[in-house]
Amino acid sequence: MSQRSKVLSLITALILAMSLVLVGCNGNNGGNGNNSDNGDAPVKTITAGVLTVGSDCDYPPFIELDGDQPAGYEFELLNAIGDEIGLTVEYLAPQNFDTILASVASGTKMDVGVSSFTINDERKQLVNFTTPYFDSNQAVVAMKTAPYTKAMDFNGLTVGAQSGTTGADWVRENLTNAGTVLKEYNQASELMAALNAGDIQGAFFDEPVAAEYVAKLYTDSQIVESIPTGEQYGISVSKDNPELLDAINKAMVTIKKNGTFDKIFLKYFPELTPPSLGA
Amino acid sequence: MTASHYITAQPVVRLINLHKSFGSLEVLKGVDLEVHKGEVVTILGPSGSGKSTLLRCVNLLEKPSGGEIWFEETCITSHQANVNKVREHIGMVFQSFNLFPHLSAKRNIMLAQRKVLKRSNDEAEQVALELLERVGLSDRADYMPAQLSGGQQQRVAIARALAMDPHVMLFDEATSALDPELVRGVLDVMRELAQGGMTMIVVTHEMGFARDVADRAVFMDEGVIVEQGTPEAVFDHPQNNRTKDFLGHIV
Amino acid sequence: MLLTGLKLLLQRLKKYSTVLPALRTFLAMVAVLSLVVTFVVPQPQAQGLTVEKTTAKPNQSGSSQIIGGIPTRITWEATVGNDEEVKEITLVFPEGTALGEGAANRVTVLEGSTRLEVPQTNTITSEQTNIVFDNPVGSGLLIRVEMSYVALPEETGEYTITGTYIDGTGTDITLDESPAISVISFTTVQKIQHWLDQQPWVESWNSVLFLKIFLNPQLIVSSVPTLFKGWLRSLGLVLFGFPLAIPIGLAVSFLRMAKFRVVRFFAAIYVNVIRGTPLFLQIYIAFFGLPFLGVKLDSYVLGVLVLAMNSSAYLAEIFRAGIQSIHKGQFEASASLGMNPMQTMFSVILPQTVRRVIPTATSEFILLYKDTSLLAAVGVMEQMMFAKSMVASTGNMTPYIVSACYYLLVTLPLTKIIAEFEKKLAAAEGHGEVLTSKKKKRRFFGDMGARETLEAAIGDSGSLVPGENSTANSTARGPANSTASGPKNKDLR
Repeated sequence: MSQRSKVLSLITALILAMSLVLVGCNGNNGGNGNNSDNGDAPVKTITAGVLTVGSDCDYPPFIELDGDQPAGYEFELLNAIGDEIGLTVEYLAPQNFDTILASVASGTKMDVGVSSFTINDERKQLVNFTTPYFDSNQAVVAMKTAPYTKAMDFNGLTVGAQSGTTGADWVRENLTNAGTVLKEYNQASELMAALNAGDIQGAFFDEPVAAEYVAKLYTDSQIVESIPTGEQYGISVSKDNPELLDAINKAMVTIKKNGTFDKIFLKYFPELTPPSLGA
Repeated sequence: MTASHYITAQPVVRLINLHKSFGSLEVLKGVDLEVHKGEVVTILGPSGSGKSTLLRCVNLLEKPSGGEIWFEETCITSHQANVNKVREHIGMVFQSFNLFPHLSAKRNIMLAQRKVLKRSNDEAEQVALELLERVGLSDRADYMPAQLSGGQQQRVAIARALAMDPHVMLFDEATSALDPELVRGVLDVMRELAQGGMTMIVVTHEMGFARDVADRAVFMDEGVIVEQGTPEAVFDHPQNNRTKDFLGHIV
Repeated sequence: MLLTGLKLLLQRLKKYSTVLPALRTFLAMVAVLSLVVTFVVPQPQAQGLTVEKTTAKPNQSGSSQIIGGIPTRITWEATVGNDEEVKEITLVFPEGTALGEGAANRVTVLEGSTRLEVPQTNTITSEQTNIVFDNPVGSGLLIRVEMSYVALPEETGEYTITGTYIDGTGTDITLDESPAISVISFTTVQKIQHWLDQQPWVESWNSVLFLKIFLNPQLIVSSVPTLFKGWLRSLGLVLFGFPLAIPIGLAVSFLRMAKFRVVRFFAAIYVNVIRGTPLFLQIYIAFFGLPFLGVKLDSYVLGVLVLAMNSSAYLAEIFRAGIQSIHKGQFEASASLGMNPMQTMFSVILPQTVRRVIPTATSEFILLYKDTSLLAAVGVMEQMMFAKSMVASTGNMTPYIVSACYYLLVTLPLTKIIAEFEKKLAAAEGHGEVLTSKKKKRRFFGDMGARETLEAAIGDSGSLVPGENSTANSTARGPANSTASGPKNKDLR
């Protein structure tokens, strides 16, 4: 009698365990079902269900580390996009800016690269870009005590820019006097530190970031001139994954339409007009 | 050859109540010894008896913990004594030769002559060659120490010490590290030195040498001099039991 | 003026025109109306479109020059004059211009620093670029055209972009001549690259992703001369830094063995702080910290100094190990000959030490040479920096591989030399030297391990054991003699 009840209870336990597993599977299916509810085909990523992001995480107010967690406009935007597609957003350890696009292109390390990448035709040969999510310009920052009044005043001086950025390109293309020395740094914060240390006379980088640094961290310095370039930031996606590009673009339209995007945008840039995101 | 001739002269080396400790271990427990000009003294004794330490105290390679050491008219344990100056006149030959491996035999002998005695290069070289001839190595002048046998190295080392015109020579188990067939050559050189009237203090296990060459044999054990006298007296008629014991083991 | 304002408003509003179809119709009506007004009212004569600049992006990394025959990006900017409008722009390239794969225009219109959405259609050919705006671009606005993958003529020369535009009235007007772009012709490198571009084997080679990314033939060709400059600079850093580190290291090693405890203490602090912190951190402190103290040095000079300081601490320990590995019999023999500590050190100990430390010191040289790459992080132009900027501009890893080869060009022969020297040393002085070759080899292949192994070798060299027999075990030149039973020689202290 007792022997039989033992066997019975064992079988019951087994069935219970199996049903639990099945329920678990159902749960997963439910998640996928959600995706198809949105009308999207399931998106393939490097790690299933996860959007792996590469960023330099040193570009306030777009993205920066708050403790060991990223924060900022791009961080919140990606979260909103991730929610929409049904992917968990995970960040790799901070990358060097100048290596991110090559990593995205290889398609094995990160799904997307997000570090205020200006869309241009050269980069487009390497990766795909999503709909632009921010309009930006270049700026040159110098110490308040310095006598410079415009960007071309730095022609022939020692200046700095972040390696691989459009700022570095601008310097090379426009400050063509023989004496010009361009020093390239991995991080925007190093660039500002070098300026403050007197290693460079001027720092060239994106205007919104320059404004943020000048206003908060390096109050001894100022923006000498904004250089209107009208460049636009896009999220970079591997050319091997057009489905992901599509999904992100669609998600951007959705969050633009439902107001989520404007809310995030205006939180960081209350005085600017949110871009249309192709909606 | 009797005791009388050195009692009257001033001792070259004189140790008074010498003590030496390494930490808590007392190695020399009050040693008194006088060595006179031209005298050859051998120090015998079992391992650990303190005989090497005694020798090394004479040129202050070990600093005594107590007592006095006189070298001719100078008390070299006093603070005013110029240690380097004193050492110029005390030659020492080590068990492990300690030739300078980066210098040829000749240069080994020349170095201190040039640096310490400020002899000219030519003079130093001449002295070196003469001494090499004396130790039977004139054909090895330009050999590096590594190219010489142990016995040859030791003879170069003796020549190196002699180049400084020492008033006394200390031999610290000069033959112990040598293969038996090489010992003779070194002992011959030492014997010649002794016959030439060099004042010598010799720590050795070579009983034959001690018996034949020494004017006086000193037997040490446990940090004190147990017995001393002419080699005949010490070897043939030891008074002390420890001496008898030691000689019994050796011979 | 009023008209311009209206048009501006119109353009801003256009963004939202899709939202409300009714608004759109209304706006269209306004637009048509304004166009009519523009046509009717005669415009005051002004410079319609002022060319602000024409530049081209340097197309060879590490150089600021524009090379003909290789795609570059031309940036052209012009401002629309007061009360003027521009409907269409045609920019004419100099004769001999060619288009690269992916050639495209990028048109940006800015009001101040605000980017405007301006619909337009554009075409690009090897002769010209043509941009037709859906709606005329109003006065005061900056038009920026970036023409990517345009290859200027191959011959050296000054090239200008000419062109015409059509203003609001439909008049075809010739543009002011834009500033010239200086172009230099193909260098040998580009000629080789060009040739490679046309080879079928290169094409099939590059069709393998791995080979294309890591061993791209065209990039190997351009990396070699560019990185050579960086290689010389890196070599320069270490060739100035290391000799400077030797006397400092020797001095510190003496202080480490000094008679006075206080001196030893400070020397130990110097050595331990420098060896206990990353060189990378030291570089940051020196480069970003020193300027605050008013110390302004050329970054290359500062780089040399930091490397020298860092290496001196390691060398100090190498020298100390070397000196202490010399058998104490050498000190005793010198002392017994009446030589003072100074004479002993310089005539007896150091000449022997030099031979023994040459292998380890050479390893240290190799480590330091490799460490010059860290200076890239603070903007010192050296090999790593050249490679980084090439990689950044090409998105290809090949320059790193070429860079690796340049480093190996120095390190491999040195390694071989060390091995040979060790063999000779072992033969000359008998076996069982202080730092055995096995240890040194491990040193060489792993940075950290290397330095630690050395410390182990330095170790707590056994202090003098009392008693006469303690020294007696050191027979002529057996192993016991040479395993660095450190001579804490009292005469030296």
